Amino acid sequence: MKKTKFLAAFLTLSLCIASLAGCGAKPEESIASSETPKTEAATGEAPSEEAAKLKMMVFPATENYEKINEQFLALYPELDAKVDIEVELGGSGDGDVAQKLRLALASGQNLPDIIRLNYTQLPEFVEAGVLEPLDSYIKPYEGDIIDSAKNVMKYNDEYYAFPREVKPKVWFYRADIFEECGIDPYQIKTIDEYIAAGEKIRETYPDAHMENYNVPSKNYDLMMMLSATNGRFCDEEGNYNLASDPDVKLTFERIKKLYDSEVNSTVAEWSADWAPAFSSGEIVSQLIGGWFKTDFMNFKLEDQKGKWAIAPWPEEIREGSDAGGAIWVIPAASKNKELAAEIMAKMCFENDAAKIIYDVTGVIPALKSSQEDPYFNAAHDYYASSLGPVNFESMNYLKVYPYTPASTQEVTIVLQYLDEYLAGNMTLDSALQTAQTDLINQIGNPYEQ
Amino acid sequence: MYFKKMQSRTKQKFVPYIFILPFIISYVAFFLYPAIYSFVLSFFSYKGYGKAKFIGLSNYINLINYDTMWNSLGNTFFYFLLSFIPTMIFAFLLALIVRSKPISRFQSIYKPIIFLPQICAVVASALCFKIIFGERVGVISQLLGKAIPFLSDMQLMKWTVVVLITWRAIGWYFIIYLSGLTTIGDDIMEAANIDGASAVQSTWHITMPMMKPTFMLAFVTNAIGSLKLYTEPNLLLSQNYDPPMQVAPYVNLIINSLSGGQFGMASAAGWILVVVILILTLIQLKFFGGDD
Repeated sequence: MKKTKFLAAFLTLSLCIASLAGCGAKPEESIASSETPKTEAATGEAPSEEAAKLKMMVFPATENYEKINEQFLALYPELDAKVDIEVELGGSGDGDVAQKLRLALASGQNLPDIIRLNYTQLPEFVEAGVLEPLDSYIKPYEGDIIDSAKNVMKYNDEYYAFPREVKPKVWFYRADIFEECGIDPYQIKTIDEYIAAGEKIRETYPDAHMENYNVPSKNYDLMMMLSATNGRFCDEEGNYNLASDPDVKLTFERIKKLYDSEVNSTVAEWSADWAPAFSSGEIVSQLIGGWFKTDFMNFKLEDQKGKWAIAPWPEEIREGSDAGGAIWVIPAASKNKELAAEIMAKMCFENDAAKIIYDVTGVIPALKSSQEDPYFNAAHDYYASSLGPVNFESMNYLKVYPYTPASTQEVTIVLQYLDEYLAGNMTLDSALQTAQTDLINQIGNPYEQ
Repeated sequence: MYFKKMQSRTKQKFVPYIFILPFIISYVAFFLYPAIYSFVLSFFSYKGYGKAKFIGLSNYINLINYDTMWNSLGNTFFYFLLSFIPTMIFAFLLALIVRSKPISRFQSIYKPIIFLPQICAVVASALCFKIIFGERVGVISQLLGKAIPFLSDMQLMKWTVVVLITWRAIGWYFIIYLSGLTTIGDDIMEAANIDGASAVQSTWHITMPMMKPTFMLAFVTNAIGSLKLYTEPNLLLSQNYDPPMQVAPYVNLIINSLSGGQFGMASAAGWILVVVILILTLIQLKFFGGDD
């Protein structure tokens, strides 16, 4: 009987720990070092008779970059002859790709040559020394890159990333309603004026709302609002001190002010109720990132065609960005890193390549030469105004929050307490203090991980 | 002769081991080694690549002092307990009904219908539930003519998950109970009937005691599965982004640590879960295991 019990206990334990199987990786076998021996392929000189294979890891789908690469290589036959780009799906979001990159670095297997990430992840991989510095590839184009966009490509003043999409803050609004109510978005400078504008619209359209900040909060809402200030969760040495940071406090208060205002709708973002709220006129404005232009069109709201326009955010909060932007990085251990860098430099900084990307994805390049190009400034098929001029203008206000190697976790923790504060379960001070305690407890020092 | 006999005995002795060798090798390579490795890793600070730094019990201490850990564990227990009770009751009752004489001849119709939610892909089920429980455009809100924030109110969000889990699980445990019921011979039930036992008495005094091993299997596997819950709440409650930690199950804590490049912390969180599941399972074994 004892034997049976022992066996039962053993089997139970086995079942319990089944979930842990596969957690391991060998630290000592990691290739987390930039000191990779240079092979023939690493020089970028592929054998003349055979094209070098480059693996490009993207999210959330491969379709766009399969199209872009095909057209891009057709545009540059000299590159087409020496490279074959294979687009690989890294997952549904940047977190998935970062995780795949970690595993590839740990195992030394299946390391992509070009990887799409968000700027949020850049600090972790740069601090770990696993990314290829790109100064020499970017310098020739430096004069043409919009200055603020350079921040999305740099960490510790060195270039480590190519910009896939710079993400300035853009205000989407119902041009027809704003005009009818006599509101010019460029005249709205503060959050109070923004709320007042909403109240004015509600005199004519009682169901209209200017925003929908809700619980649970969205990380991009927090980070866009925070990056408008100089607030940060920790100092440069990695000491978490947000409870005493006046700008973090100000950010929480600003979000709360919008959340509590009458012009805030209860519709949850990305829920099934969101798109109908645009159609019904419940939401007439959105303070969001420039990337929303594509998502909004994907709602396929034909009745909204020609009604929406864009402007920079109100002056008081117009600086900042949503996570800086989407970037391309090249692992230092990539076998074809030089060729990969050469291709990405052309893809990101040459105007003709930028047009291909714009056609497929709607991404507006962060290039001074594109700023004047009528191609990017033409009237839009869907929106009431051209997207180019406002996007370029907003790029001038682009400011990147000083992300740390632990930013993903930091934001997850802080959001929890923003929710508690918004819901009225905690005071501002206790929410920030508890968030700070958790950050210290869970992360310690983000630069010493 | 003696030598040949010895050789044959040795052969006989080792042949079974050779047969189970592939399993043993895969068990050690893909289960035991990673499990032990993750246990070792739980004492290190390690971001998945590069050098690991020994930090002793820090990961465990930090987790125990982390309110969110207890909150996530509480969420997991909420999902487990509140789905466990209705799942087990409904699954058993359905099995009894389907096994009962008037219905049993229609088993081939009822069994697949009841089991259907289990074979529906969890992603598809979660999407359907999102539509059913949508705040404004949702089926329930439309029927009631009132917007109910099933997927945005922190308390209602948890209940929605419980409904989804229960709906999916009933079919599975129904089959388990049905197979358990088939092991009870008709002669025993007939004897009880002749002795004048009512249907309730037969169920209470004969069926249920004889089903004890099946109950134990169902309870233990449900507890282990439920405490490792991840997919359902994440699919149902996420709106383009992960669900908020206020409603997230415990496994989200592990995933968050992995996403944040804290493999040591993730391993420690995993081992805390192992201990919790082990304690719960031993309690269940103690209560339902009996002398067997």
